[in-house]
Amino acid sequence: MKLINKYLLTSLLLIIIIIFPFWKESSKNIYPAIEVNDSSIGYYQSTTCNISLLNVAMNNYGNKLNLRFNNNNYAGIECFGKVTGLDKVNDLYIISIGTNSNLSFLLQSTIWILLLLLISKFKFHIKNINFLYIFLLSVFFTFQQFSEERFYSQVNRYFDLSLSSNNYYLFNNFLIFYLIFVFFSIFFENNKSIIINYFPYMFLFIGAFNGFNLNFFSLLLSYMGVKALFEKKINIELNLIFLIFALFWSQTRRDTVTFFDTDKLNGFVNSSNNNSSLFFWIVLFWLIINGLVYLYKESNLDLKILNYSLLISVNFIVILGLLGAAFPLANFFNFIIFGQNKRGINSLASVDGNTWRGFSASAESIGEFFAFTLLFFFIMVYLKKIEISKYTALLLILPIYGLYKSNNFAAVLSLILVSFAIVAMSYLNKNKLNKVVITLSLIILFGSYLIINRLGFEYVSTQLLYEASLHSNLFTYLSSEAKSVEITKYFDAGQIQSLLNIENQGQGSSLLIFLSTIYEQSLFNFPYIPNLVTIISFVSIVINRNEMWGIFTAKYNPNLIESLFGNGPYQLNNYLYNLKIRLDVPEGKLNALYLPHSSFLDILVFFGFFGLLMFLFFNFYVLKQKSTNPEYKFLLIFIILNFAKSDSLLYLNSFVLLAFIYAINFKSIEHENENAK
Amino acid sequence: MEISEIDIEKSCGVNSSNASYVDPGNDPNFVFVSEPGYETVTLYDIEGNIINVNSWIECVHYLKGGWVSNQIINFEGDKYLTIGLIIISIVSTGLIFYLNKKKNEVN
Repeated sequence: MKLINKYLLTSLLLIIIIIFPFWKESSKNIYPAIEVNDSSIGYYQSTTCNISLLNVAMNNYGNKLNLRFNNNNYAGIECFGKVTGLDKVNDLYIISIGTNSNLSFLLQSTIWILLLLLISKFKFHIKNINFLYIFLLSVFFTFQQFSEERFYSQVNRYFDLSLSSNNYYLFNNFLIFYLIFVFFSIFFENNKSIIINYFPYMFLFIGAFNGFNLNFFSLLLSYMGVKALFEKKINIELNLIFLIFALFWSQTRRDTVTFFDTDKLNGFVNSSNNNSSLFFWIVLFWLIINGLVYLYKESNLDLKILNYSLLISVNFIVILGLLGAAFPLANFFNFIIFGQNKRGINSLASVDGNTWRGFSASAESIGEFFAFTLLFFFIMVYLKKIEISKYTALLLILPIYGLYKSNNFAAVLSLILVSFAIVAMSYLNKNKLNKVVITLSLIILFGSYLIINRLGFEYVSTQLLYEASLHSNLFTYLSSEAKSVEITKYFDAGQIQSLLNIENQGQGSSLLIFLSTIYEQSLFNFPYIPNLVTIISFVSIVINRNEMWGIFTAKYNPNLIESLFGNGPYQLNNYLYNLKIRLDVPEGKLNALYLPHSSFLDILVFFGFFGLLMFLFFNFYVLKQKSTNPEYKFLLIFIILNFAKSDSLLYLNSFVLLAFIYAINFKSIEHENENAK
Repeated sequence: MEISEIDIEKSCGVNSSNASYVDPGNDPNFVFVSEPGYETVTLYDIEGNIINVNSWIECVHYLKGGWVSNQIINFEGDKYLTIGLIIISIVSTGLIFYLNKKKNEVN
């Protein structure tokens, strides 16, 4: 069969797979779909699991009411794609659609597998299939049902962990994993050298399984990880360090009470805080990093394809984000088809007065990706002289629009700065470049001095501790306002130690106490260099992270092992729930999810001080490598600058983006070395 | 509604108190008495409503009224999905083995 026919056939199959489950009515259905309004609420509530989503949608085409299609994973297979209820909340009509998690799992896997088939151009030769890998991985991922029982028991009404022959729930899980890994093994063996060129589509097909705390691409990377381990294509030092960290993680605090519902991090975060979930996420992360190393070794980067992948992916993200915002049905299908970890925004208006996340779960993360795409394009065209057609230039319009809507000022600023740096680098020789760097550093220092002078040194130095104190459990017997006044008094009098260690002994988090000790006792105090806390506090003010890092300081309460080695990969429970504090935020925001708002702090929570130190040293090492293609280092500088103020590392696609930047830097050096020989 | 003893045991557990089921009919004053030691069973109706029953007799009563337990609903949809997945798994595994063997023979 010709390739074009295969493409057409696969596309047709995809359309059928997507539409059919949401179009088919129950075989016993005798109820017609009617217009959604106040009088039909009872009707839809008493005819559950009969009327299909598309039937309702078609009958409500042009309905001026505020409709929303919600997914109901808890419903059984028999209700899949059908209305399972209708509720009215204020003026919003919420139509619940059955999206049984096991069937969603199968449906989403099939869709994404067919898309991988398109990418692979149907290269599908059977070679090197190892069923041991497939079996082990299927068992491992089914084990997650046990390790994160609390998460899964809330998602599927048929959740059942009994080891009996009629536990079809568990059987289905295992079998779907088995089939996915059978496909992965064939796909990977045929396409391992080209996969990396299509990684930008991970921002479009996010891959979070509906009703699962798993990501499709975690599975693919795990397969590579297992292969790397069995074929001994691993980095020994990396694995030894990981093993040492794992030993310490096993000694961190565990409990069965706290539970993180995963929220917008769904698919790439540990929901529970028990030993088996810790084990699962340690092994998963271990497989993922080994998989990434293996992928790096096997990859052939194609800059042209990468450039197009980035542009096409971003364009679709913006278009689908707009469609999802305008049409409730598109919003629903975006969630299922693309595996969003959070429903796309359902309005074109910005959230909190400024940001618009559109298709993505995070405006910051997607803003960074838009800016990264523009920067990569700039490097390709300006330095690599890749030829582009005038139509390709049109593909830049939507990324710019998306970046503008995401309102990620840091991404825009770093994009401009890094682009200027690249241009300067291409025009100036090393001496002149050094002069420019020194001049810029002096300007930054002088600018900082002016800001500190304007705000006041005392204010700048203590603002982080002050903000953290407001969010801490100090003066618990006072009202919020009185507490704030009292804390301000202590700060004005310069009695921070007295506030934290005498008046409110044992009430503050261990990080707050540690930072206040550094500040007061002037630990790490070097002549002519500001105190460490002053520097962090100043940076937090400049990049508008004072409140968020204040909340982090108030919440982060590690013991010694956790502070040095972290809580384990993607384990946020101890950070989120260990210290119960009442935040100094408006009542309506008290129960919101407060993430650290810096990937560095995320690393601190997961891998501790040593992990953060190693991460920083590794980046420094990459930047110090001699290369005739230093422009790729600018990609790293760009992403590190942005990650410093965002939680992007908590998303698998951004995590892989960082890994890709390391890969492109090392590949370029490798290539130079080969040419030199 | 008639329901087999096996299905009753599957949903309501063993009749450890040896109580015999008597249909309370339409008696509005009838109250089911909790059975000491009986582990609460959750039943569902077709609309997804949930009821917790605290005695074997109460459980049988609701089963006969069309309510079902997890295990029995589970039996239908998930069972067919399992059968389908097993068939696909066997066929795909068999096919891979066959193609591998054929390839080895050619080599």
